[in-house]
Amino acid sequence: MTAPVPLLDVEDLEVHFPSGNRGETVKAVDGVTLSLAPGETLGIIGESGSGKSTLGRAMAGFLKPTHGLVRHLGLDAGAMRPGEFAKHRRAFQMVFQDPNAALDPRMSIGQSVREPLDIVNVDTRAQRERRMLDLLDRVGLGAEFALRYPHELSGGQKQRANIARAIALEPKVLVCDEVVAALDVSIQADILNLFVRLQAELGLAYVFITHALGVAAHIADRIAVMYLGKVVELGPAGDIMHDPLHPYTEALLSSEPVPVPRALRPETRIVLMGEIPSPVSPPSGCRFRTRCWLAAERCAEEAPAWRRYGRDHWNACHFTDVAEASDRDRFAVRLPTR
Amino acid sequence: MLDVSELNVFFKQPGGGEARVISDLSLGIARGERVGLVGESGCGKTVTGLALLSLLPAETARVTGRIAFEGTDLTLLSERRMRDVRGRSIAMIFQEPMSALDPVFTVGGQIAETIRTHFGVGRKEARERALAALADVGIPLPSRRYDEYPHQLSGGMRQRIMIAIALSCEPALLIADEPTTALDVTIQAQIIELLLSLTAKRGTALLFITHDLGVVAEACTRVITMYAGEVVEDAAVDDVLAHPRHPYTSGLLRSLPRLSLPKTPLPAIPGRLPALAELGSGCRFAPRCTHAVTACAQAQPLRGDESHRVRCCRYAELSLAGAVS
Repeated sequence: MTAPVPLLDVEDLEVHFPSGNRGETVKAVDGVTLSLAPGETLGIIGESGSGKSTLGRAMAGFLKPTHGLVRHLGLDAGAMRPGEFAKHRRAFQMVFQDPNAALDPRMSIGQSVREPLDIVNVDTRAQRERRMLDLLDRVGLGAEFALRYPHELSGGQKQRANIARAIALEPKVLVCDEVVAALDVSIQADILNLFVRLQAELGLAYVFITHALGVAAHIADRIAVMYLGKVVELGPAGDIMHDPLHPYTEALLSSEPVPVPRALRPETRIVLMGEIPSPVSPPSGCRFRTRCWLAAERCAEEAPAWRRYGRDHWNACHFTDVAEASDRDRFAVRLPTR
Repeated sequence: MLDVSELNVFFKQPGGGEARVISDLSLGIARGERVGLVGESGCGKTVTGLALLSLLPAETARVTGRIAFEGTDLTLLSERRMRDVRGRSIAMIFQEPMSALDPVFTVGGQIAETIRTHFGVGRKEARERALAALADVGIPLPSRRYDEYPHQLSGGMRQRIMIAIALSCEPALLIADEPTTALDVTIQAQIIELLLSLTAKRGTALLFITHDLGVVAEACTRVITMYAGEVVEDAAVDDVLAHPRHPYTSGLLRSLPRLSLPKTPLPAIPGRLPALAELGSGCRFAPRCTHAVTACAQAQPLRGDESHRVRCCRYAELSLAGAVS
């Protein structure tokens, strides 16, 4: 089978950080293999400490992996010479959660959006100025915003300016890290609409990192679920949201409060006990076992294999094929919803 | 139990003059009731919570109106008498427990201090009660955790400590301001479960301030929606979720990504929250409202009956979309 070269793929990716003075290692990302197709949105969900932001940065080439490969258009991004990489990385951009942190308070919005074009230094100044106004228009900011400063803008408007800046060099991939997390719901809806529209207009692919399941379900084609440095489940967004295979995914979905009347909510919910363990010394075998209600001895001894279930739906759990759920309810409780 | 009427909060402006950030707010909470207070950033929900406990700085904020708690008007109390109410009768927890806990004292010591202040018991008994409070909020190994400092605990554990402190004096009302917003969903589920079981067991009423309608659906029986410093809707949670009567509440629900088909345009609310200086005398939501008519230029009182109050002159004729279609 000869698959087309993916836009972006990572293979057995590890990003480890040294921690403290006792020679400890934080295994932020610990063996992840993923790929991204042109025009696709890959959602990455998981709790704080699951490694999703680190994975996103490594995918965009902002962080060097300690092991494994990040390939951009089939080329090893880590092996490029700095000059080569600087040119190459234009196609891979990032947008962050805090719209303030990414804009220089002393630069007008126009200058900020034009900055990437000025650095690359193509075309004449007048052409770059025109391109900057086009970009502002594309993200729904009028030309009058070019002369304003970040403090004059609302959070949603600042995020639009950041998006304009990120698409200035016509990237193929945008890695979006919690880009709507700081926004109120009605503004969040506006910005999500903008992402969907830009994707259709520009053919962008997104890696969309979010802790909000509703956001991932809305924007993603496929969703990867991360827990403690590993992807535990990967599949089409609809399958992940409606037919999850991994107990962690099931617990995440069950714990998200849904704003519907009581009669329409499920009768019980899974409340996990305990918290995510330290990525310095993750549990042996399956990393979720210390909070999993299905956990058995085997889960401590052997890491579950990454297997395919149905079309393009992958999962790593020893118990996926076991028809009857075990009754070991030591680590989670099913409680009646109120 | 709590009956707030015509509450107004004015903030002094740097150039002189005042801005009215809360306008004629009225709300009631019955014993043991769980009420959600929702709205977007800047709508005045946190200021309302702080005003109820007179925690707003007197130099910059002026509060008028009546806050009747078990028959006593709290706005007339001296600061000394108010200190007895705070914690003992009405307690409050916040989004970021780290800013409410003192980093240089042990968490057990901070619970014990609260108990000694309000009950005047000895050190030994305060310690016993604090240990029991730690166990009640689901802290494993209370006798070991007692001597730990806030930085040694996770965000979820710190919020449990805050709940232990808040409930240690068995208040009649707990005001919880975004207590789960900074937490992951699995931890949020634990904390909501804990708040519900403890308040139910002790008959504590809950005022749950949040921007998250999902949290309100799970934690509350009644919900009050605020917009630009005013209450715009006040009714039973299930009623509001299924049939909101104020266009703003409906707009909030409809902008949630969960309720639309993937990648289809989300119905966002046009425009943005008006600045306080821009407020006219008519309906404050009218400039953003797709249902606005000429009558909306008039000042809008709360209409409807006790079971469903709404600040919209078209509430009876409009059929607005809710969380269920």
